[in-house]
Amino acid sequence: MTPVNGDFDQMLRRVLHAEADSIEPAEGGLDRIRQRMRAPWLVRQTSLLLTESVDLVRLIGIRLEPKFSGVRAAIADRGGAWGAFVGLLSSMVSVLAGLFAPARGRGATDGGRTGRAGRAREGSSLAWLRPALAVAGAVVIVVAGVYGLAQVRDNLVLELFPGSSTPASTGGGAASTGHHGATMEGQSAPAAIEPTSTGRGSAKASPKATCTQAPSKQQAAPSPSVSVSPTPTVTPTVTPDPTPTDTTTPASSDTAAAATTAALTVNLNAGAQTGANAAPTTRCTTPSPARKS
Amino acid sequence: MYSTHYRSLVRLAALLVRDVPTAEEVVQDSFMAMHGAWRRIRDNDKALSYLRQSVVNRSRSVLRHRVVVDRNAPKPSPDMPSAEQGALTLLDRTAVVAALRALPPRQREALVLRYYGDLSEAQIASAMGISRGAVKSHTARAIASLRAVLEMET
Repeated sequence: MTPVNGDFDQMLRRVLHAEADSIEPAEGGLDRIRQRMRAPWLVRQTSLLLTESVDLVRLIGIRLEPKFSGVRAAIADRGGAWGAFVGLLSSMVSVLAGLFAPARGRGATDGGRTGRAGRAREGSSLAWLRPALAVAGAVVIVVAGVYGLAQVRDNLVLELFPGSSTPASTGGGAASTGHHGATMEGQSAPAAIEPTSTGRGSAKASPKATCTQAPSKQQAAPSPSVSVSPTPTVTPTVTPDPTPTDTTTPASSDTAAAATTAALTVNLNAGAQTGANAAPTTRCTTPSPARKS
Repeated sequence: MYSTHYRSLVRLAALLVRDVPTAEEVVQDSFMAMHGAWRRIRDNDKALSYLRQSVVNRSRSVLRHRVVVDRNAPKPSPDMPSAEQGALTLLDRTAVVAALRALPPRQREALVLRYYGDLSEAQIASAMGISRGAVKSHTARAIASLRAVLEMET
């Protein structure tokens, strides 16, 4: 502790104890605590808020006391509170009339009382009101629009996609599952391009796999006439994008070219070669290195 | 806890806020806060420390609210009757209390907690939420200014 004079120390202790011992708290403090504990949370918060508000108002009142005294003096100059009130009311009415009937001429609203100079003074004092009102109106419109659009969007989403939060989530989920037969209304999904069966064609980046799209379901049936000529493009462009396009090369195995091509077949649908409901078959042909050499 | 400490805490708060009803409210609020935080406390010693700290903090809040009011409040008249007494030990307690009230809040808290609460430096530091060095500094400054004021009056 800080070394202090012992007498002063003792005197201070004695005085403080004497002062404090003269204070006797009111009885029933525990009951008051219990009562306050029993009060609902809302009541407690409300009372706290009221207390704080009263304090705040009191502080504001103290701060604005000089201005209040000025206002009081002005009221007294105007002949009392009633006279000041009537004067204020009449001035407000004249101002409002001037605002809402500007085209009819302010001279009429003034009643010839103030004249041109008075009108000019009044207009200049209210010049800030119009832009302020415009800004306030714009803010209100923007806020209402934002809230309204959000509500409309939520309602639309809920009505159109009642089972899902967003419409995009269903498509994405179906695509991500890897079930290629995921359909809507019985149609096969267009995402038939997933080289999961044999990854060789896409993994080898040296020769470009050339694939063609089977245009229709009928062409998915094996027909030799539709055989694709094995024209391997020798361009060594590396395409890491594993997007083999679909082909309709069902029976090109007996051809000489078929011997030189490593067929990368991604059959996305098991019944693609037979059924009429077959999904487009995906077959990617990759030129073999022997062919190139 | 209530029967043991309520009265002393009210007196402590009254020395800080200079108003007994407000001091009672402060202490009651502190008890309520302790009740709400009892899961964290779970110990009588900690509870007392918590109560003391809560009382000090709430007294500070009250004083903060009163700042503007106190600015406009009439100051105690300088010619206290204790000036006639001569010796420091015979000073009227009103003069000491008035001088104590004229101190800055932190210094007053430090003195009250030390001389009325009989707390150690560590306990004062915990109650005030400051370091022990700061407690020493506040106490030393408070005693110095108190002594200067009282010697001027004598």
